[in-house]
Amino acid sequence: MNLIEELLETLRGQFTDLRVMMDPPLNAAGVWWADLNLNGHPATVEWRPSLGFGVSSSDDSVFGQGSDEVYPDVESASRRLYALLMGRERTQPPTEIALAKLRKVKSMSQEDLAERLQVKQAAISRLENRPDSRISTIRATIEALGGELELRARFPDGVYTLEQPEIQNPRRKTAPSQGK
Amino acid sequence: MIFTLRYIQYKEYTVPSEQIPKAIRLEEFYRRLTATPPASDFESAFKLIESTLNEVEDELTEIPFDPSQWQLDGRLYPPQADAETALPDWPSVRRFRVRRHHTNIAANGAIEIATVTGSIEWSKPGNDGKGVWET
Repeated sequence: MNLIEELLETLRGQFTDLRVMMDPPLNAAGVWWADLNLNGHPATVEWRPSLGFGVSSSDDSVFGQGSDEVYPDVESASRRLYALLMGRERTQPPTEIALAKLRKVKSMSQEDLAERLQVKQAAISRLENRPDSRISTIRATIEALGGELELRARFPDGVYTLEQPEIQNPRRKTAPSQGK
Repeated sequence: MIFTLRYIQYKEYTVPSEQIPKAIRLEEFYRRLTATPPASDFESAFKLIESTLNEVEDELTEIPFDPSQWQLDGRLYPPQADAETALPDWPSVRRFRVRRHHTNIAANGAIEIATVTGSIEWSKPGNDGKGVWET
């Protein structure tokens, strides 16, 4: 029994009404698929032997779109699928955007943003090219762009929104130059 | 990773490239496939799908092409060779799976893209005028 068969076996043990359609590849080292349906609620599992499991549960995926979520092993994938099927939940495609791109989407130049944060334009440039930044810096920048920063942690059993402590330090206005 | 924002003329709109929804990009992919002369064999049909979708995504998004990992980047990817599934009753047709779709390609170059529940989204005969299931 390979890992996707093990995963499906686990789910069949948890849901007696689960309908499963396996779509195996011609070459066993290729990509395996399984379509699940529990009382009308669908989920799709993708298994890449070298990478792990992709999990999706949404009706609006278009041709060529990848899986919404990925899990490294049978245990984490089966926990997530259990939650999706039991709670009739839907997955969402991942969305990521770089800070520089977000600023441009909001039609703001580096100079505009620097003025709002009361820092020099060069500090914004450094921030946008920096591989790692303080959360307080990112939060100040997002607020200057007109948004609100949310921090979320994703676990196999769900997604948690993290509390953000109130920053007492008034250096928030100069945050983009921190960590030089 | 640093992105450069481009603005794209799409129909009567000028929009930032990352704001073009997947459904619109897919529509453009099908439009270009329809406008292309039919393929004459499996290889040219497979390459036609691959090159047309990659061309659309390169033009209408800023997302770099990286099919080797999980494809979580929001780009649309053509079927990959390692996702070929068995179709034992149809020796002249090869089937490739992506998330919720099958791409069926016949030896005469005919193409059909259908959902896994069997609903046909797009199809085109090969250059002999025959459809996928007529070969």
